[in-house]
Parts: sequence; C-alpha cells; structure tokens
Amino acid sequence: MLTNVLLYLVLLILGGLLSYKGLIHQKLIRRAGSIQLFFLYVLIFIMGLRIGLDRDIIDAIYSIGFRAGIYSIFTISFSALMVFIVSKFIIRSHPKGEGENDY
Amino acid sequence: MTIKILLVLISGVATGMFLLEPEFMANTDILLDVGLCLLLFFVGIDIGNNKKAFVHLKKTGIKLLLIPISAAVGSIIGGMIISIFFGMNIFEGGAIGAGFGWYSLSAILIAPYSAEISTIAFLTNVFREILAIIFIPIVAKHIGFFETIALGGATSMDTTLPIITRNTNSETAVVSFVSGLLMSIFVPILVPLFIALI
Repeated sequence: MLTNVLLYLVLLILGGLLSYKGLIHQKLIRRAGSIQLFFLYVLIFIMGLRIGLDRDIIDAIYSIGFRAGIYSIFTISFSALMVFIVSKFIIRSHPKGEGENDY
Repeated sequence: MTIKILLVLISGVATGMFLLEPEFMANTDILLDVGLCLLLFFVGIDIGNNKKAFVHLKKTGIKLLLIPISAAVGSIIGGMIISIFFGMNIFEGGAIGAGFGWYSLSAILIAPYSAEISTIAFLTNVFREILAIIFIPIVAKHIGFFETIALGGATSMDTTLPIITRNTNSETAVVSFVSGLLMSIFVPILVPLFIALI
C-alpha cells in the first residue's frame, strides 16, 4: 500500500510541478480534461469488471446485501453530514461553486 | 455525468459477470494501476495549472485537517447508530463504519473476530465506493465540494479522486488527496480498536 501511495503522490506532484512551471504544452493542458474523463470511464469500467468477476461479492450480495446496503447509506450520509457541519461552522470556507472545473 | 458513470459501472459489472472468466481478475490489477497512475498525473496537471487553489489552501490552513477527522467520526457514528437497529453491538457497527470504503483491509482486520461481520464490512465498503461514484457529482452540485471527500472516504486519494477533481475544483482535489491518505491511515488503527472494545 505504501508503495502505491508514494507512487500516486509522486505522479500528482510531478504533474502539478510540470504544469505549475509551464512545462506542459498549453494544447495538452486544454485537453487534460477530456483525457481525464476518458481514463475515468475506463477506470470505472474496470472497477465494475472487478465487482462482476468477484464471485464472493456477488454471493455476499444475495445473503447480506440488505444489511450492508443500509450500513453503507448510513456511514456515507453521516460522514457527509459531519463534514457539512464542520465546513459550514468551523472552517467557514465552503468552496461550492468557486472555481469549478469546467472542461 | 452520474447517469454516464452508472451506465459504465453497470456495463463493467455485467461484462465481469457474464462475459469474462474469474481468472481475468489478475489482469484488472495491472489495468487499474496503469489507468489510475495516468489519471493521477493528469489530475496533478490540473491542480498545478490552477495557482489560485494554493492561495486558498494557505488561507484555510490547518483547519482543513478537520475534513478527514469529521468524515471519519461521521462514518463511525453512522455505523454505530445502524448497529442498534440491527440488534448488533455498537462497536461492531463502529468497526464496519471505520472501514471508510477500504473494503479489502477492513474485512481482513475484522475476519479473525467474526466471518459474518467481516463480510458485512466488506460489502458495506464495496457499496460505499459505488455510492460515492454515483453521488459525488450530485453532492458537488447541490450540497458542497468538501462533502464529496466524505463520500469517497479512504478512496478519495485514489479511485474516487478523479471524480472529485472532475466535479469540484483544484483546492478540493488537494484536500481530497490528503484526507484520503489520513483516512487510509486511520483504518488499520480504528478497526482493531473497535474490535478490541467489543
């Protein structure tokens, strides 16, 4: 896991630095959004593939899918609610709509 | 975007279920790694190109660490509350909630305690990732950018980071990576802690 995290960090920083220093061609920067979207869909498709290929997941869905579904809805909702409260009342920097990426 | 994401995800699941053999799984590891690396490089390009993001980040500073902490606390509370409805021990619910979307590790950590809870944790976190993929664009549009990080949990530093970046801004993308990293560190600490408290 640590190797992966380091690799992700290096790639993010490398991309960021090259772009920040103006070493990336403007044409590529303009197309970065479309390229990102392409890889994003490929990645989501592969994630779907992995779920479909994993018979353990499919079998588990039939047996305890309901309970797990309720757990996932509650954990994700309360997580978002806490961040909403903290960002609204403590951080007070709610960046919704500011500088949204629009490719 | 949500509908497109959902369609792509469903096509992937259907292809995996009906068209491919389970042995293909090994190939998806490489594909996922390569795809993720390329994607993260382009996310980096995007972030570096938006110099204003760093000014914003500097201004808000250390307070941004509250994002992963509150996301973690919320997830655990959510898990504990629902465990009461299912007649389970609240710390079992806490352990499931503390997976933060990292399904493989949370299930492995819980497995020595209970195979059933381990499977629930595994599936809960698989569903969490799917829900995050579907709802990040909606939450970004109607609620706020930082809340998308809560949806991604530990995956907001890798698999859901591109979706967060795509639907929010560069500042949120940086906070997302740091939050995902911290929440990933929390998982192997908090899951065994809750198991010990049962």
